[in-house]
Order: sequence, then structure tokens, then C-alpha cells
Amino acid sequence: MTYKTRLLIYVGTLVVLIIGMMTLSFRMARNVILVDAEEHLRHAAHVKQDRIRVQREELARFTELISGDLRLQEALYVVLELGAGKEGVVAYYKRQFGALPVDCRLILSTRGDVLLGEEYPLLIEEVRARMDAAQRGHFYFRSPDGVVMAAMAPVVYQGQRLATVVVARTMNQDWLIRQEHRKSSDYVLFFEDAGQVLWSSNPDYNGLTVDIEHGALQGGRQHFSLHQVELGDNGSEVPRLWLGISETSLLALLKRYERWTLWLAVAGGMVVLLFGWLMLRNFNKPFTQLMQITGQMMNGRLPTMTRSQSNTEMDRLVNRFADVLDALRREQEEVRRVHKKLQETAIRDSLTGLYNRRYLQEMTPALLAQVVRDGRYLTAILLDLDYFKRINDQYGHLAGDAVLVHFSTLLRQNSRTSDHVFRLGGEEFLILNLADRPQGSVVLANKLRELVNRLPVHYQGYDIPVSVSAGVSCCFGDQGEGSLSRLLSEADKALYQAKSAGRNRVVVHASCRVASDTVKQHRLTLVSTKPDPGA
Amino acid sequence: MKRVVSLLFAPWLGAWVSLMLGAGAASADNTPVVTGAGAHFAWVVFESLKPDLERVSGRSIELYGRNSTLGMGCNAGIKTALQNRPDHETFGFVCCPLSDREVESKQLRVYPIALEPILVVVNRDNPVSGLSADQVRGIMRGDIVNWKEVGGRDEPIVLVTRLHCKKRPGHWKTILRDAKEFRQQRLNVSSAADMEQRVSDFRGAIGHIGSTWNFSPDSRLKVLRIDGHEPTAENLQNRRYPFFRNLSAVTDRHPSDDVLTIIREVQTGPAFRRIASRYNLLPLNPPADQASP
Repeated sequence: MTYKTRLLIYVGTLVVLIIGMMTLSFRMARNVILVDAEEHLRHAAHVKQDRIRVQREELARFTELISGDLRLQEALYVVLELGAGKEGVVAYYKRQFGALPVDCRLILSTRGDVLLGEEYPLLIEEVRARMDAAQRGHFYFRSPDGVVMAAMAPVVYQGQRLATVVVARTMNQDWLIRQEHRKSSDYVLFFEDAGQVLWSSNPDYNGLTVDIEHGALQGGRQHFSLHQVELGDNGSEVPRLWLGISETSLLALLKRYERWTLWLAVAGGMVVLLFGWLMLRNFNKPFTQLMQITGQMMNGRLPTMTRSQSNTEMDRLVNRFADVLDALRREQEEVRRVHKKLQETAIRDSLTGLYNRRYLQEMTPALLAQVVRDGRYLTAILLDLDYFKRINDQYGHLAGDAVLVHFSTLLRQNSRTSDHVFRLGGEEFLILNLADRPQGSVVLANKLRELVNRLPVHYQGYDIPVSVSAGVSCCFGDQGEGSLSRLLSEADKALYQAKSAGRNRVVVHASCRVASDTVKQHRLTLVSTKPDPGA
Repeated sequence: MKRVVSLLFAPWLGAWVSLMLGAGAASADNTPVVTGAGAHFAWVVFESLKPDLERVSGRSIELYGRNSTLGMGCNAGIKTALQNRPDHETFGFVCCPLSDREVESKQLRVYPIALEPILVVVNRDNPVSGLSADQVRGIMRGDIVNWKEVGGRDEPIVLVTRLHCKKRPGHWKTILRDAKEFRQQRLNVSSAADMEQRVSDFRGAIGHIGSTWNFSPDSRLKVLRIDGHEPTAENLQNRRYPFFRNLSAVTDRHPSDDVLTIIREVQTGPAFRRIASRYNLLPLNPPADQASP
């Protein structure tokens, strides 16, 4: 796996981690808020229950206060036993207890006659149904306006039960609003019956269908956590009281920032990706450059690297690598130079500087191939200094060397650009030439012979006369294939003829018959290609 | 330096001098007030006479009665009278005659002031406007239990009584001599205010109350004529109106001169005559200008 792939995986993992952590944080925050809200709701519901219990007990105290009032008892006695009008009871009650904070009050005789509170028929009916069962206590019942909380107590005068006193408070819309006095719409207190909101502290919710299990008010946009507020001994037919807290409102702030945070997470991920890409790019560029360079080096090249001006670790590495390349390049140049020198040394004669026999062996195949390919002539001029042993013996070997250098100089100075001059050994030299016609080589051979005759070798005050014999042979086109030995052999034969004929002459082999006119013109000898039977 | 010191201390010195002068002025007017308390009637009478009484006696008078936390009624009056000290002069007022035994045992002095008619009252909605004394007594005893028996509607009679000072002679006893004689099925009240409210509450109610009672504006009471006579001082004097009670002031055995002056002014002063006329009281003492020297 490449580092690029690994880096992409690392960055991708980091981005996923960032987004995952943000999502997890939001879920945790949401859960914390909801759990806290649930706890708070439970507490608030208990507070509401306590308030309701206090109100219930307050009503009970009111009934005790009223039923225990001696004057009321007397008044009731007068009405019930003496048959006096009940207006006295009503007047007394209003004067004495009219200021009590209750919504309904009722005094019902044991016979069921209404002495006070005829305007509350529903309450009268409920009390009549309970008078035998419980003489003292509280109860709830549903009225069109709301749930009614009522407390009742018997009125006993001189050991005789005269009547029942009932006071009640209607837990209606206003009551709910008073209980849930917070201005915030986060909380809602409502009565529910059969899944329908009957009365609510928020009138907008009246009549909505409520899903108790999921805390959803159908028709409302908000979702609520609900907790039942126990009324206490309310019975199954009385609507249930619920306190709800809006999860939607609680989570609104979180929701508001959730989008921002997700965007930030995505932006953070993008930034990480960008940094990763930049890092990858910063690393990848020098790595790629180094890979390309090393690839070229594997192919035997030492390319030139552009140095970076910055001072990062990677740039310094690349610059160092460029330095190494430069050093290698210099070494390569030196090696090449030395190799060339060695090569030159290997293919040239050390005394004369002319090509040696080894180089002849190396280059001849190419020349012959060119002869075949281009259909040209390859001519060989084989030269041999006459009586060279005599010079060595007479003037010494150093003089012989001087003669060889002098002759080589003549060959180099008078040969053509297309000529390849070799010293084959001792006093024997060879000139190979590739040309369209072989006449030039015949002329050159004769010209060289004449120059040698005219120019004696000056050595330590002596003029040493020198002459040379030459044999010329040719090959053409496909005749040249595999015929170096034949070419040299025919040149050697011609040279032999020249030596045999008295030396200091040029003999042209019959393979160069195309140059016969030139031979004749220069009064040279053209010999047959057939081997001399007598040789 | 002296100037600076004097400037610093001058305000303090001035304040101290002012304080001492103020204290001196207060001590010059340090005479204790005379305190009176007791039955409601007396409070009505004495309160009305207060400026005259203070002028005559030269003393400040403080009266407790109506809405007082010290208590109302004859017992409160006797109790206040017995609290008399040289530095705390008191007197009381009672609405019924005291027995000799009580006067002796409690070392009291009684100063009769006036007779007060006891009004027989019914609800204003009751068509009956007068009864005979026998009818009243019959109602009180329970012999008559329906208004139709005395010419009224067919409606039960709700008897309301306030039988206070049961151990003292007089008072409601001018109606029936013993509490046991009253009808058992009745409403007993403990104050005149309750009496007024009870009779106002029940259309068929009947009760009794002193003439010095100031009826509330929303009172629904109606005063009956008895034997065809209104409850006036004149009818009391010529004994045509049968129900009344004795109003008296009480002190301990050592009242101060100022207290005696106050009581005497009530008994004989001209101001009281005006009050008595307003409340149909029959003064029991001749005016000062007619009193024997």
C-alpha cells in the first residue's frame, strides 16, 4: 500500500472520527437534556401534586370550618327543625364564609334538600350520590367547565346530623393557567380523557389528540415529555391531569447549533482533507521526482535536477540528492574520459598514435557492412618501409622509431578524412578507405611512396633516406562480406609483388581493376588476384 | 482651635438642649388618663359626651367598648372599675342592675344613669308591626310559634335571644324572669351585633336589643310597638312600655374626684340630656340645675 493511500486512509478515518465525535456529542447532550428535563418534570409534577393536595386540604379545612360553626348549625337547625326560611342560612353563609376562595358551595340537608347552592345541579347530584357512602372527605368529578375538586363534611348540631357542607373548586382553563403560571411555552398542564386534551394551560392545545405513550400532541408541532399529576382518589371516570415539557423547545437551542456544528465538522473534515492533500502533495512531489530520477539512473542516465530554494526537510533531501547526482555526473565524466583514454590507448599504437590491429578488428565489420549496404568500394593500402632492419642496425632502434614516427606523420598529414590509418606491426601500415571509386586510394598510395622518397628522416644530424612499398586491394558491394582477410591477403600479395619487384613501388591488385586506368596513368603494376603458384 | 471645637460641638449641644426642653414639656402634661370600659351602651353615651367630660374634669379620657380588645359587656366594665389605682384611674359601665351581694363582694359603687328601652325587633319583611307584651312573652316562651297566630303570615317564628348577665336582676328579665322560661328551639346570640344580623337574616325572626344600639345602614330590622306604644323615655317613665334595662356607671370604693366629676356630669349634665333624648333613654338623675344642693 502506498503512502498516498495510507495518508488518504488516515485522513478519511480522522474525518469520520471528527464527524462521529460531533454526532456522539450531540446525542449525549440531547440525552443529558432530556434526562434532566425528565427529572425536572417529575419534580415539577410532584410540586403540582403537592399544590393540589394543599388545595384539597384547604377545601377540607373550609368544610370543617363551616360545618363547625355553631351559628350556622343553629341556623340550619332553625330552618330544618322549625321550618324557617333558608334565606337566613344563605345570608349568614355569605356574610360569614362568602370570602372563602371557593368556586362552589353547597349545603344539603340529610333529606337531600338544598339549603345553599341551588345553582350547582351537577355538584348536588354528585353529593347526593355520595352522601350515604362518605360523610366526610373529598372527591372529583367532571363538569363541562373542568374537573371539580370538592370537599364535604357533615353538619352536626347537638348530636344530630343536619346537613352536609360541600365546597368545591373548578379546575378549569383559568385554574390550569394559574397553576402553570410560567410565561414559557415549554410547559403545559392539561386534562386528558380518552387520548384527547380537554382543557390546557395553553388554550391552543385544547381538543388536540394526545399520544401519551410517545408524548406527542397531534396537530401541534412540538413533542412533549409527559408526567401524570396524581389528583388522589379521583377515580377512573375523572380526566387525568398531565404536566408536559416541550422537548422541542428544550432541544431548540441544540438543534440550532447542531446544523452549525455539523457544518463545522464537515468544514473541519474538509480542512483536514485539504491539509492532507497539501501534505501529500508536498511529499508526493519530491518523492515522484526522486522516483523519476532513480528510474532514469537505472537506465544509465544521470539527469539534471532543479534545486529548490526552500529549506524543508524534503527539499534538502532533494537538493542533497541533486548534489549526489552532480557528483555522480562528474565521476561519470571522469570515468568516461579515462575510459576513452584507455580505449584510445587500446586501439592506437603507442609510438605513432595510429590505430592498431585491434581497432582494425573492431571496426572492419562495420566498414564491410557499409560496403554491402551502400554498394561502395573498400580499398586497402598495405604499406611496408623498405629495409627498415637495416636502418635499425645502422642508426639504432631510436632512429628506427624516429623513422616510424616520421612515416606515420606523413601518413596522417596526407591521408584523407575518410581514410583509416593503422600500424599493423613493425614497419607495416594499412590505410582503409570507403569510397565510390577506388582510384583515389591508388593515387594516395603512389603519392605517399613519392613523399617518402623525397623527404628523408632527419635524426641527430643524419638524413636517413627511406622508401616504402605498397600493395593496394579492393572489394565492392556484396563482395566485401566476410572478406577482410581476403582484402588484406590480396593487398599483402600486391605488396609482396612490389617487394619482389625491387621495392619502392606500388602494386595494385586485380580486385582494383576498375582503377586500371589510373594504374596505367601512374605507371603502376596491376597484379592478378590468383595466388601465385610459385609463392 | 477653640472656634473649631465649638463648631464641632455646637450641633450636639443644641440637640441635647432641645431634647431636655421637650422632655420637660412632656413631664408638665403627664397627668394619667382616666380609663373607662364596659357595656356597649355606655361607650355610646360616654363617647358622645367625651369632649364635655374632658372639659369639666380637665382630664383626658380613654374609653374602651366598641371593637375593644379589652372586652365588652358588664363584666368587662366591673373588671375595669376594680383596676382603679391612683396612677391609673378607672371606671366601668354596666347595662343591668347589680345585686347587692355582688356590690358588696366586689366592693363596688354603682352610679345609676338611665333606663334604656329594650326594643323588640323583627325582620323588615315581617308584616307585623306591633305586639302585646303578652304576645311577646308567649313568643319568647314558645307558646306562639307561627306568625299567623299573631296576625302575621303563616311562617315559623325564629326566636333570637341574647340572655346575658343571667345572674343579675333586670335587663331581659323584664320580658321573662328566667332563662329557663325561654323557648328551647331558639337562636342564642352573644352580642347585639349578632342579634341584628340574625333577625336580619331570617324573615320570620324576632329578637330584642337595647335602644342605644346603632343599627348598621344595611340593617333589616323593624322595631315593634308593644301594647301599641313606642319604646320611648316617656313611655318608660309612665310605665306604658314594659321592657327596659338599667344603665349604670361603677367604680371601686375609692374613686378619685375627677372620676366622680365625670360620672356626675354624665348623670346630671346637660350634654347627657341631649344624648338620652336621641336614644330614648330615661335619665335616673335630675339635671344639675335641678339637683338639691
